[in-house]
Amino acid sequence: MEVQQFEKLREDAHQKLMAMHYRAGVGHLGGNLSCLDSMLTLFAEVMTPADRFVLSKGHSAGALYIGLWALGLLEEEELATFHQDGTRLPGHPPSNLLPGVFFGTGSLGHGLSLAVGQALALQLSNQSGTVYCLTSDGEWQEGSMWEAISFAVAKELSNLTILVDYNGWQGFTRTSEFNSLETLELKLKAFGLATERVDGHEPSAIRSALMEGGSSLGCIILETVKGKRWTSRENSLASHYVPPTLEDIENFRGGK
Amino acid sequence: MRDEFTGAIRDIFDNEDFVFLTGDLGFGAFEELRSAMGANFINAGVAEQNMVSVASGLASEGKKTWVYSIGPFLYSRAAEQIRDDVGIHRLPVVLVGNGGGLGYGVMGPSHLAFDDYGSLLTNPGMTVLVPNFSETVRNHVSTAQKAQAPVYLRLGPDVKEPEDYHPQTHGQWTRHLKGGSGVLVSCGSLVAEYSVHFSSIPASERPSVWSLNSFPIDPQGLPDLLLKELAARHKILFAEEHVWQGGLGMQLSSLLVSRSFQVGREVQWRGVDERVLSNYGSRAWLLELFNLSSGQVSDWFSTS
Repeated sequence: MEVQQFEKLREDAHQKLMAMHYRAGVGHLGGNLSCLDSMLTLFAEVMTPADRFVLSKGHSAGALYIGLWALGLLEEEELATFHQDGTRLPGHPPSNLLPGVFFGTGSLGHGLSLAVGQALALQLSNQSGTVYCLTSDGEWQEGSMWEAISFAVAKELSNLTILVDYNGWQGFTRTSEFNSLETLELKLKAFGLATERVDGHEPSAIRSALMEGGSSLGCIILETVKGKRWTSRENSLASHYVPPTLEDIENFRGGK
Repeated sequence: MRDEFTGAIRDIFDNEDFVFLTGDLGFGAFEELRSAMGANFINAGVAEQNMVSVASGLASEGKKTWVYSIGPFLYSRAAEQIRDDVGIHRLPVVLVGNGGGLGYGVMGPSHLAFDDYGSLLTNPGMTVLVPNFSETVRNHVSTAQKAQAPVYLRLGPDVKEPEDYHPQTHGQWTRHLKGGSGVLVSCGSLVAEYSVHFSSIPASERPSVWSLNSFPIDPQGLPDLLLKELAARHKILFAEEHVWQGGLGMQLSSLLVSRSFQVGREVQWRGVDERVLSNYGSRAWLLELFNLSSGQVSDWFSTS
């Protein structure tokens, strides 16, 4: 995709995500804004039809839906049903209702093992394709994450790429209380993963890291800002919970 | 039942879309299977939560996936993974719990599966298969392999069919013995042991022995013969290696009550209660503790 075209898509995607949360009056927006750039880059610039994506941080469902819209897999009208009764777009991804979204995630610490299972299936069948799994940073306090990593390394799943949305916030505190960025990276390396840190809001850096990941089991740590571009709530715990206001929508800085 | 199970798995493994995961268990049982299955036999290590979710990931890609461990290490340790990743997605993952009921005896309550089917049946689309005699394991394995939804297979202690044994199958139910002194309803290895015990007792002096072979109970599938015997006999006993909550006795009796069905005149449930948490002994000793041994059950039916 041309740079200008991607930037336009990115701008529109951010506006639509904000509007979607505003209309629905729901939170979880901060963690959606922290990962939208990486999801858009992954979906629009990197993934092929042979690849899989698992959203382990299921509370970023809004960004996922916007990503599907960006790919033309969801109509704009359907975005208006976000969080509404009878919707296909609930607060966490539904199970096997949307194209390319098989797993209904939500409880943290599940998606990575599911992705590992998919990667193992591809490996056993000698099929091509990479499985991408986007995790949160707080999620790495779940023990099952480390079970998954141990297994993935033992099985040499070179077709698995893990992304960590390191926005520095979790449900009720800063993630540094449990895992500083440095500590988390050290642990991941100690478990046998190749890691790379990139600016999670810089598409070219994300793209390079994803494309260079190649044939090894790796983890890309996306250094992000919770509530990125949401002027009044950027880098705050509140961005996890409060919905945007009309003023927030008007003041939103878009894709820049 | 593990030997029969292993043999049955070995026989149905025929292509790359069959994957068997074990939670670091199988010494003395799975070595040959491991060799035969090659890369499709996977020791997932001591990490049951991951193992169950990995199984879901495999199943989502079209792999028929079996997961093996000691019962509670699956249904209790990985309860949320079974609920969210297997159950909600209705994936055809087969969970195999060894030591069903009180099988691990003196190993203690951490290893005892006295609350397996009651808790597992709360999961969407879950079928629980409960072999009784070892000879029935193969059929259950075949059923599980064909299933398009989650299955839990409860493996218990080995009990071989007696000679001159002629059970009658009625859908998910089996009448193992016809008798005149009452009706005994049970499941798993326990019912097999009861059948062996009562097979040497004259029909007029023993109860009819029935087993439920799979859960959930099909409300429309209750055999007329069972209902007839439950209505006609004086003594009715529901016995199981399981707690009351969600157990065979609770499920069957609530079903009968919902139909305003009159059951016998002396009805009793025997099963596992919280004493299992602080009393340690062999399975045989624990069965005695809970009045579930063949002798105790036989005594109850023989007293007027």
